Amino acid sequence: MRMRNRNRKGGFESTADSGRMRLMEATIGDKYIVESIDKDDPAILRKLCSMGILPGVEVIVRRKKPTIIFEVYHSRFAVDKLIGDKIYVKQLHSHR
Amino acid sequence: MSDNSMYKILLVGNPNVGKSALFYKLTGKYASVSNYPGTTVSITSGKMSIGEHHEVEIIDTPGFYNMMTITEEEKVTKQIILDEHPDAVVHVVDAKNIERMLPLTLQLIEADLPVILVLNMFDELKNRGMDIQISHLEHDLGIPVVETVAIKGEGVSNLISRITSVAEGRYTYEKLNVNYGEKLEEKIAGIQSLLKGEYAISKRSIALLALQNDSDILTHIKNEPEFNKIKKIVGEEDAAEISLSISHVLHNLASSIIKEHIKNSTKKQKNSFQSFADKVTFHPVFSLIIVAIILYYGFYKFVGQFGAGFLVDFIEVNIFENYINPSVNSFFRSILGDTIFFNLFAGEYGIITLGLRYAIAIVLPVVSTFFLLFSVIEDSGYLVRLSMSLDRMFKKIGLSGRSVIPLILGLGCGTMATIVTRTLETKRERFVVTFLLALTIPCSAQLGVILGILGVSFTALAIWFVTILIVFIFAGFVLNRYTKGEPATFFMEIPPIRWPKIGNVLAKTFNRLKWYALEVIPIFVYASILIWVGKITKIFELLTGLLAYPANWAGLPDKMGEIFLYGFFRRDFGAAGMYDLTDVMTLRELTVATVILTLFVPCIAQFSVMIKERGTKTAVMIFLAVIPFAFLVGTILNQILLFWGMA
Repeated sequence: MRMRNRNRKGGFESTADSGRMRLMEATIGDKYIVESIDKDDPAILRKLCSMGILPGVEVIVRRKKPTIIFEVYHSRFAVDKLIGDKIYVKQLHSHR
Repeated sequence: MSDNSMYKILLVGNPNVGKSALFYKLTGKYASVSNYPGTTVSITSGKMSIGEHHEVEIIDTPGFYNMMTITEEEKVTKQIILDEHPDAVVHVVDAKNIERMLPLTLQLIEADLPVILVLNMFDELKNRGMDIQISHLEHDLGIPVVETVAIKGEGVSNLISRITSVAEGRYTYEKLNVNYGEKLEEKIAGIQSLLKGEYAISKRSIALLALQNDSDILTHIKNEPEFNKIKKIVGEEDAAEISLSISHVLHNLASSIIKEHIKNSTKKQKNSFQSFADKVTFHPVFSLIIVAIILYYGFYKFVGQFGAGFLVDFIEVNIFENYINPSVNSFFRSILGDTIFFNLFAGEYGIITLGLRYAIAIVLPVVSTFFLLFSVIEDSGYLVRLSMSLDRMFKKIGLSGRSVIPLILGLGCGTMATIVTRTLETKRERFVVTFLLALTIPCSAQLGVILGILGVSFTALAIWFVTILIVFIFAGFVLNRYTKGEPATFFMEIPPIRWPKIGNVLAKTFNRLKWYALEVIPIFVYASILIWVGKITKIFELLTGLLAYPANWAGLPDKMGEIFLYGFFRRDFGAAGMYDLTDVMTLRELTVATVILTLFVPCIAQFSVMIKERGTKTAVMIFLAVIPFAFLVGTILNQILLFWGMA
């Protein structure tokens, strides 16, 4: 399970499986998967969970201004920076 | 269950999946259908008969995402599940989004509720070249699954027969089991064994929610003899971590079930109107241009000039002054003579000649045009985009873009808007928006009258607008600074832009108007009676006399005291009363008076809703803060205008 990947608040340290970035840093239009979600704010975590935004899910960022807009499944969501920064993504790449 | 008891059916699901449309098809009643979250502000219920013998009560609930609830409206739904023992729970999902919404179905199954899954908007899924094998899905989930296109009525009769069989207990559920892994299962079993009471949902569900530290469920079970032991188990765990694992398991299960039964297609068709509409409405500059267009053509031209100008003139002058008032006056004079009772119905303050005249001739046209405009904007999905574009600006006063929706609705009716603040997530945001609604947002009738009065001078209108805007920003900053709690966050699902459907828009407008008419006309009548009593007992004179002092400080004539008093009976009532004063006051006086009237206390109806929603203490506090503030702003503005040399 992915739970092991405990990230500290603001943790940006490049780990071995790098390519991890905040949603805000993703390239618009590219496919990413959600790598992890910050657990420091239970309310936000709960909200993201209810919407099905969980590690392993595919996302595409569509806009970053004025708010972040991304697609998950067949829905689009708008979130502010505060929530967006809780979501870490990594690029979908083929090499193993 | 006794024979004469009615079956209770609950409709649940995310906002924006066509729940209200389905409700309409089932009951023939209109729960406002719209394209933004949060229109089902209170529970709507309707009856449906099946055959000749059965009556079923259908309850439409506000948006619901998860058994772990966040907003107040979600809590309402959960409370119904816990208290009402529904005979069937119909979970409505957007078919193309089934993968994302199925976890809630799984939670409902786990709760041992009689669930029926409805895959609505099935046509949209097919249009994307996808398909779902319903019978297989039904088999895997162990519950009835129905496909529908609610707005066209497709699949509804099938759903009705499924509801009947579930409610009558003729459907055999094969319970699907979810496994959360050894460690978590141990905790669940631990709590389950400590639960002794009887509950509407399964003990397993209760245990799961308790482990996630869900405050509603912990309150619900607080009378358990072993409650302390349960709390201890809950306290040992990191609730956030557990929430995440649970969601993860549910979503993985949902995906694996769906992947087996869904046919995806590579055929991707883009709706060119929608992608164009998206580009324009997401664009920072173009979206501002759209706001300007709506403000000018929608508010100024349509509501202001057509509604408050043309329609009001027509009904007021042609119908009331020429026909109704003279005949009402002579009729009551002939039967009542020149007694005090004559004045109750007719004359200057009569129920008919003042109360009904204000309601029908002045308020109704303005409110109707506003609600029509609002319904068009709402139905198109544009409101969500507006929330999004304004989010950053609103953050500066501690609000999220979400609060745009009640604030704009407040331009229609502050009472309705105060109820809609329930869709906001934090207590703090609800408080700040309620306060701003009470202080700064003029309702449509007020707005219409103000546009009518100040319409003669663009400068006066601009002064009014800028003053209110400054007060709005100032009050926002102050409230943000001194209200306790975390700042708001913004999260919203964005529906596609759609062409507003005429039927939808008209039905929605009619629905709001009906609510308004039922709410407003009685109050206008009561207000007329109160004024009559007040006049006879001289209390009215005393109060208007008192209010004349602050009016004088702001450079206004004594007569304004009376208008302000009307303003409390109903804000729009007060504004309407100003129409009669336009000839005797200067432009400066009119400007100052409209500013004070806009800021001045909310009307009786809004105040009573504030008490209901925010509590007496908060409501009274807001009320008492608003009165002196309104006059202070008016006095300052008057001094500035005098200094500036405005006559």
